[in-house]
Amino acid sequence: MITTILSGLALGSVYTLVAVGFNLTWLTTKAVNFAQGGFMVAGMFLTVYCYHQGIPVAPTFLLLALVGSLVAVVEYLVAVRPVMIRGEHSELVTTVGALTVIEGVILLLVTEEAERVPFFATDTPVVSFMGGRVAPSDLVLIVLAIVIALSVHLWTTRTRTGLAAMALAEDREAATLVGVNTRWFSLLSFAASGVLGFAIAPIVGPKTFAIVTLAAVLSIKGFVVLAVGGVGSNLGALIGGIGVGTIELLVARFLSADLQNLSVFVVFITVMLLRPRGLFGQQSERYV
Amino acid sequence: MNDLLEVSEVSAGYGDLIVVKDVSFGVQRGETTVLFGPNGAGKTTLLRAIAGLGPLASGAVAFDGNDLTTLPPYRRRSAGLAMVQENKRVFKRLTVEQNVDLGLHGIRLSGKERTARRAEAYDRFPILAEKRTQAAGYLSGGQQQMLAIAQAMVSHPTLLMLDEPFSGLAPSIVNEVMDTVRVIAAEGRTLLIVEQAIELALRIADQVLVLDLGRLVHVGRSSDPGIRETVEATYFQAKL
Amino acid sequence: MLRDITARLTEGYRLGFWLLATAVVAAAPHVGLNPSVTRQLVLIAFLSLVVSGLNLSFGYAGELSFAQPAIYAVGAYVTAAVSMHWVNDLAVSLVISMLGGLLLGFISGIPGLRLGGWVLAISSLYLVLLVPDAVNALKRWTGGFQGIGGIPQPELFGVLLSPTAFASVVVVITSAWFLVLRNLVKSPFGHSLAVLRESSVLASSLGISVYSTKLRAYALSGLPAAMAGTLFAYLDGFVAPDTFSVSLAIVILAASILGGSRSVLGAFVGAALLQLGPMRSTAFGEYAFIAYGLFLIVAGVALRRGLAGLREDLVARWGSQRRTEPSVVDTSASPAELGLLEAPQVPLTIEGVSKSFGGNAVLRDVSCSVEPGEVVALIGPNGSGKTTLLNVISGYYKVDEGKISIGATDMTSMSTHQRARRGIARTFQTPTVPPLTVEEVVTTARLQTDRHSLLATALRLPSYRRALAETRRVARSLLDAVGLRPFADEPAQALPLGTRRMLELSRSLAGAPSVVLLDEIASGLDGEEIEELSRIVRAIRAQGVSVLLVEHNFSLVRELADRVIVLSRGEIVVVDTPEAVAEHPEVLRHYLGAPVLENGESE
Repeated sequence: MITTILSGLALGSVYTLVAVGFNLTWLTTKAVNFAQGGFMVAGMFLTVYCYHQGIPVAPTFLLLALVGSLVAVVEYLVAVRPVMIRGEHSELVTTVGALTVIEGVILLLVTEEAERVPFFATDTPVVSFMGGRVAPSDLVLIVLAIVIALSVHLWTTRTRTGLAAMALAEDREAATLVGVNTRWFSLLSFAASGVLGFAIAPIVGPKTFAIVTLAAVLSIKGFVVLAVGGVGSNLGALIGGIGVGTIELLVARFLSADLQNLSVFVVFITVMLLRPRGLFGQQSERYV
Repeated sequence: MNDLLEVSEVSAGYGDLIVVKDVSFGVQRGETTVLFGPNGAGKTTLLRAIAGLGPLASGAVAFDGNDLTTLPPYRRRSAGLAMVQENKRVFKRLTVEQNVDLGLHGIRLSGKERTARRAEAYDRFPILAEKRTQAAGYLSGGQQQMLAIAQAMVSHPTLLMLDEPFSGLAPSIVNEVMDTVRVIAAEGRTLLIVEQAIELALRIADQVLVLDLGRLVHVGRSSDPGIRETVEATYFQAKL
Repeated sequence: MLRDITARLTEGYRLGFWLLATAVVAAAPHVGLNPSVTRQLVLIAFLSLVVSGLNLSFGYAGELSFAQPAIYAVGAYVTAAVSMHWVNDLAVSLVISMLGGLLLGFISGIPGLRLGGWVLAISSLYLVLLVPDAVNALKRWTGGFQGIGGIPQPELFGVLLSPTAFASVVVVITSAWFLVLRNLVKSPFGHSLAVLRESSVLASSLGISVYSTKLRAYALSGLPAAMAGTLFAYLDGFVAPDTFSVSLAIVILAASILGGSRSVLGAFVGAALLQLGPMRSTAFGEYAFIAYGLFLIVAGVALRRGLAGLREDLVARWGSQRRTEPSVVDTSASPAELGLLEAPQVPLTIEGVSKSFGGNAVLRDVSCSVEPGEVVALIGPNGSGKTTLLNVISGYYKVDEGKISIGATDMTSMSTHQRARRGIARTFQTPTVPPLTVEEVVTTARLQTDRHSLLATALRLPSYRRALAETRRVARSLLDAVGLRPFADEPAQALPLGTRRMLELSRSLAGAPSVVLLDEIASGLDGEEIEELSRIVRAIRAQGVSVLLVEHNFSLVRELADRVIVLSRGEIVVVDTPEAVAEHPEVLRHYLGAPVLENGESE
């Protein structure tokens, strides 16, 4: 039981990290970047490549961060900025397009098969923890998710740039008037989401296996967690992720593996019907 | 050049709905210019166009001798142009403190200078000091208005634009805000105020502009005889 | 009259041509068409069916749902189960899977109803994710992950279909569906989808129920995918879950955009292009995803109207050149011409209405009425609550206290579209017109008064034709009355502002309203255009309609209004004739001096 819960927490941490990535770009552009899941999977394959090339851990992370920010910024400039002003949901389609491009690049350069992602270039055995068995990579994953979600949360509430981002998210025009360079913020937040997605891959990879089809699944489930926790809330992403991941694996273990995705779907629909803005989400303004 | 702000043949609007038609005027340094006009005259649209929030369909705006239209909107604050929008538009989900701090965003100042500016703001509006940690959305209308002005003033703007600063406020608060505006004007700052409340605004105006259905129909001074009647007349278009 | 005959002839020719083309293509497999080409044809047919479903919900209704692969799967697996365990008949399988498609289409749309585009997209994509799980759970009938084989060759009414015969049947069925689809979208129902896509606020104001129209669109969009599923199952006698993937959803979206999501045959064009191109060649296959993805990005960025409206974009561009033409139209609106409206003459009554937004009282105990044959102007300074009052009357906001009635009917708890159906019409400050012709725009206000059943629409039954002719006659008379008849077939979005306002005005009359709410109808117009508008408003008044006018232009108010209501800070200050109001000292103070509250409270 504890093992299942720990595993669920780890899985939920993955969703949380996707959701935090969504939050970063949503705050500044009001666009949920569907390609975020693709960032993670691409990062996983890049990690495997680095591993096979014998590149040590630190430079690998550096490379991931660099590539991640580059890919995300290009996506922002090409697929998001041009459609942002519209107000329609064009960025839904363009970011799906971006995800597809990333999937295509992976298929082209790598493979459509699943690959194992080694944890920090080692094969560490499972350990005992709090009465259950868990892989060390899972533990690191959970801790990192908490740290990252909290850090981003604190960034938005305690730093000057974070404050500017929050102001931007609340009222773009008013933020412009006080001197916030909204375009630059949007670009940087995309870069940050890219760094997050790619650089976290070596920790997430060991849990999930790297496979192209995972990208869309991560984005979809990440969005579920985002919606359940409340769009824009990093605490919500954390709680939502933990909750969803745990429920998913508990259902898989004690009911049936076939019901695991369905259970998440049920949670999604239920929360949306009962509390549309999510657990920690903010009331949206009225307008006609 | 005496005019801090020069608006030349500006037209602006939304898509093909042009609500400001061919407007030209100048705002002199150190003076308070008030822009009157009934609803729908295009006053807010004009102010927004100057602030850069809306595009100019045609015409040009010069600020301190430089072409404003080439300056991106987010740079105008640090260039010395601050705008307080109508409807007390502060960041309601953020605290008073955070709102004031945001007024300093993008202005290059040392840590000491920042602290000094903040202290200044709380001096000017003691009520804000009291409510520092409250979310701005919980303040009363008058307090929000003061916060909005504080947020603008903290950047020591050369030109301060106020869009209907007295609207929707109770009489006692109106007097307070009026006093604040008077003090700011007395400090030698240049003000461009949009107002519908003629009585109030004439008390502080130097230059008087009247906008009606998008066009500038009158330019004068508050000391002109009969200025009040002229402004009132446009509200009900008795002359037409 | 002549126009109608030519239209009928053209339709007849079109239908004849369509049938001929279908016959030719259906016969082709029998007349020596290469079997591999036949197979491609059949595969294109499947994809085009599925894509057409997406076109219905996305291109026409404007809602992006990725549910198609899931519905496709339902069609295929249901057919497998039915044909293997019950009766093997193509028609039976079709009917059952179509019912399943209707149901799943309907259900898939529900989450997005209240929660909007993203939730719809994600939840529908999730359905696709659930397909493998469902397939595995129902292993007994679905064969699990390996797939199920051994689906028998299709029989139709007892006749075993050879592969070539099957191909012909596929062609005929696909063609029949596209005919039905065309009938559905080029009809008032299709126009209601266009209105919905343009703006749900506009749709409600015209009496269109946003929820029910969306649900109908989703349900219908499930039909072709289910049909395709049935046919797919019979094609190779084998179904496996990996066909129904997220990748397929993306291919469907790409095909839809490629062929034009709002064009009837676009689905076919897009499907053909993708099937013959990327989906066939393995060399391209490596680059396929990248190509699809880039295409989606480019299409999303390049097409101004949010992806599907390339044609509308071109129209708008050509159309903007028309703006230099004079907008002066000859209006000789006489009451008689507007007299084809048989609206009950009833007053609009507002009693004790109060409305607050988050603690802010925007309307305080407002009571007033507008009598039949009266024009009442609503004026007030900024923040007075005029717009809120109008929106409260329309039904976009619910009142906290008070009552709104039209005649004896209490509308306080009715939704916007219900009020529109009861006789309230309005215009908007920024004229909103969907991408339709001027005449079609006017008819959209009659979608509720002239109901056409979907079946009659789909099959173009005589009852439909008769009803449509009547609707168009009414629309044309209205256009005549406002002088817009010459523009009847022009794209409405290409018209200059003044003309669009007139169009909105005539649209607001088309539904035979008892009450008309005009929101700053003169804003941005010049003298001549305002003159024309006044003439029409006077004609409307002469009809006995109750008119409530929100206006800033006081000289227009003087000309038109019988009474003026002055609103300030949510309360009525005075109600009187325009002259009296202009000289009323209180009014001047509210506009010009410090705002005063009775009890001196702060907000």
